[in-house]
Amino acid sequence: MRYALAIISVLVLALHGIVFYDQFFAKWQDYQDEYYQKAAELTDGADLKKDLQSRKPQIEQTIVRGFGEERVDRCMSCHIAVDDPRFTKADQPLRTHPPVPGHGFATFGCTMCHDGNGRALDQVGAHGTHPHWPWPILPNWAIEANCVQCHNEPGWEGAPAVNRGRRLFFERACFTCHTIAGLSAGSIGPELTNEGRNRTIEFVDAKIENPRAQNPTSTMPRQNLTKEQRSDLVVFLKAQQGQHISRAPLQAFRAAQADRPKWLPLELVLNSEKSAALGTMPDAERGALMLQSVGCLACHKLDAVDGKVGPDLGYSASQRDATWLMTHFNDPKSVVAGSIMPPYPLPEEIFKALTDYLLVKPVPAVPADPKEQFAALCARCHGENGNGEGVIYTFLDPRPRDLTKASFMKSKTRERLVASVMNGVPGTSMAPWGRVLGEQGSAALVDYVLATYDKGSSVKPPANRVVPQTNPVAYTPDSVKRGEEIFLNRCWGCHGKKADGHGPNAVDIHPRPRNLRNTPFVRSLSYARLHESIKYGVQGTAMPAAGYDFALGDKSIGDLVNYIESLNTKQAAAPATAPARTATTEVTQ
Amino acid sequence: MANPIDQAMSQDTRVSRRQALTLTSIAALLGANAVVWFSNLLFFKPRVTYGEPSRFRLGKPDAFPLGTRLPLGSQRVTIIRNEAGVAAISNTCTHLGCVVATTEIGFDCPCHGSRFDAEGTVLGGPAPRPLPWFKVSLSPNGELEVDTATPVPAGTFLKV
Repeated sequence: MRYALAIISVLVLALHGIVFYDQFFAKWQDYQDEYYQKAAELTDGADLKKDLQSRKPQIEQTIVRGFGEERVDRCMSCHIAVDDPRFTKADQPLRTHPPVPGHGFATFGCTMCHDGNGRALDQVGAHGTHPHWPWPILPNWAIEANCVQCHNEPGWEGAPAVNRGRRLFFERACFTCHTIAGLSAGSIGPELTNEGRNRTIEFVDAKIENPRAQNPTSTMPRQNLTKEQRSDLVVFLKAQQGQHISRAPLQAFRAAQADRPKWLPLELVLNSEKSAALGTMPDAERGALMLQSVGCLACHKLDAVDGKVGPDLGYSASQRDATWLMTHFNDPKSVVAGSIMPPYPLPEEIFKALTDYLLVKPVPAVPADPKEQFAALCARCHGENGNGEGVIYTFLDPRPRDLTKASFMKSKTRERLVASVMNGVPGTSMAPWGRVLGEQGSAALVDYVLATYDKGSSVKPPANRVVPQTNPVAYTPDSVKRGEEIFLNRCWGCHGKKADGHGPNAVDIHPRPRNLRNTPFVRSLSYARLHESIKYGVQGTAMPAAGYDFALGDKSIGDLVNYIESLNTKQAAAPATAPARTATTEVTQ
Repeated sequence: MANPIDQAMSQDTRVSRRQALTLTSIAALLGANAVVWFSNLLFFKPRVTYGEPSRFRLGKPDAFPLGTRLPLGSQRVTIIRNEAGVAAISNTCTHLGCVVATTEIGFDCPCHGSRFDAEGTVLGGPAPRPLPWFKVSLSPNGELEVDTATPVPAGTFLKV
C-alpha cells in the first residue's frame, strides 16, 4: 500500500510539473529571449543595449480589423524579427520578412497572406499542419492564391501562376464539368467556388494527379499534366475562396444565380487577341483554334496530341456527318449513352465551327498492313494484346470488347464482325471504320484479329439456332406489361430495375450487362438479334441462355423485346406502334 | 524503559522504510498542491487580451518633424516632437476617462471641461491629476515604440 501511495504521489507531482512547464515555459519565450540578446549585440549605444536586454518576453499580437472577420495574429511572438532588417540571414523563426511595400504587418497581419492559425502559439497549431485545420500555412510557391483574394482583377500580372492555372482550367476542359461562380457553369462535377476554403493544396494536388486517389468511383478523367502545370492549377484552385452560400446574403445569392452564364462568353475561353481575330477567320481555321482552346485535346487524340481519355478525332471526317457531330456536341449522351464527355456550355456557333473543322480536316494515312492498322486504329481502346484494355478503356462504357475471348468471338459470324468494324456499334464508342478501311480492308483486319488473338481453337461455333426474323407478338401495351413482369422476375439482377445495366450483380460482371436504355444501340439491332441473344444467351459473357435456363418461349421473348423497345421511345405512354428500326445486321444461322 | 531492545531502537537514527515512504508521499502530494495553487494564481493575470496592444510601433523618427503634436485615435496617445526629443502623452482624461482633444496649446476634455497645458498639467476643471506620459523607446529595427503600460515622469523625452 505504502509503495503504491508513494509511487502515485510522485507521479502526480511529476504530472503537475509537466503541465506547469508546458503552460509557463513556451518556445516563443525562448525565441524572444534569443532575439533580444542577439539584437542587443548588434546595437550600438549602452542605453539601447540595456533597454533591449531588460525586455521580458510577451505575446506579440496584431489585431486585423480592416478585412471582414476580425483576425488575431500572434505569429510575431515567435517570428519577432520579421521587421528587423538585420536578420535576413538568420534561421527561422528569427528571420527578417522580405519587404512587401504597402503591406504593413500592423494593418495586414500574417495569416491574410500565409494562412495558418494566427491565435495559436505553438508551431504545429500556428502553422496549422495538423489534420482538420483547413488552412495550413501555404508554401511560398502557392502564396499567390491569397494575393488574388484582394487583387482580384482578372489577369492581374502580380500572380502569374494563378493566371497560368486559369488558362489550364479552360484548356483542360475543367470548366465543362465544374462550376466556379462567375467563371464557369458545369454541373457534372462538384462546384469549385469554395475549393480553396474547403481543401488543402495537398488534397487538390493529389486529386488532379489521380482523380481516383480519394474517391475510387470518380469519373473525372486523369490529365497528363507536368508537375509545374499541376502546381499552377493547384494555386488557381486554392485561390477559389468565394463566400460560402450559408454566409452570403439572400439578395447576393439570388443575383449570383441570375447572373450564372448559360454559356461562356468567348473572351473567357480565348485570350483577347485571338478572340478579336475570330470574326475574320474561315470556319475551319476557327474550329482548329477552338479545338485547342476549349479543351477537346485534354481528353481526345488528334494527330500527335493525345489526352489519353477520349476517342481519336483524327478520322472523324470519314466516320461521322455534320448531324451526328452537332447532336453529339449538344448532348453527348444522346448518341453514346455511356459517354463521360460533358455537354459543353458553349454557343452553337462554336459547335458549328468545330464540326466544320472536323469534317474538312484531312484524315491521317492508314497503314496497309492489318497488323499496323490494328496498332494505329484499334489498340488505343482494345489494347495491344487485344484484351480490351487499351490506354483509354476505363473511360468507355460499354468497355471495348475483349478480342481474346474465343467463346464470344466464335459465337459471332465473320460477316457480323466485319459489319461491326465497318458500321461501328451505334450508342457506343466503336466508330464506323468502313470508309477508312474499305470492305476488303475491314475483312482483312477481322481475319488478322481472329488469327492473332483468338487462340481457342477447341471452341466450336454455335449451330442450329432457330430464331424468328420478326416478332411473333404484336406491340401492344399488354405485351409490354407482360414483358416487364418477366424482366422484373428474371433480368433485373444484372440489367437493373431501370434496365440501365446497373443491377446489383453488375459490379462483378465483365463485360458489363448491356444498358437497355441505350436507344441508339437498341434501335440498331434487328429483332432476330435481340431474340437470339435472349434465347441462346451471349457466349463469353454472363448473359445466360434465357430460352432454356428460364424456359422462356418465343412468345415470352417477344414480350421482353417489346418491353425493351418501350424503354427506348421518348413518349411517356406506350406507343401504338413499335419504334422504327435502322437495322442492317441479320442473323443467318 | 530499561528494555535493551527499546534502547537500541531509540538510538538507531536511520529512518525506517515505512517512514521514508510516508514522508515521500506527503512531500510529493504537498508539492503537487503547491504547483497547482501557484499556477492558478498565475492564471489570474491574463497574458494577453484582445484589446490594442500596450506596446506599439510608430515608424521611423523622421516621420515626426520638429513641432509635431499628433493625436493617435485608436491608441489614445499624442506624440510630441520638439528640440528635446520625442514623447507620448496620454489622451485619456484623468477625471472620468473621456478622450481629450489635442489643441495647439494643450488638451481640452469635452466631457466636463477639464483643461491641461501642453505638457499635460491640469489648468482647470475637475481632473485630479495631470495626464500621464508614456515610455518611448527605439525598437531594435530603429522605429519608435510606445509602451502605454509604462508611465514615465512628465518631461521625459527620448533623444533622437
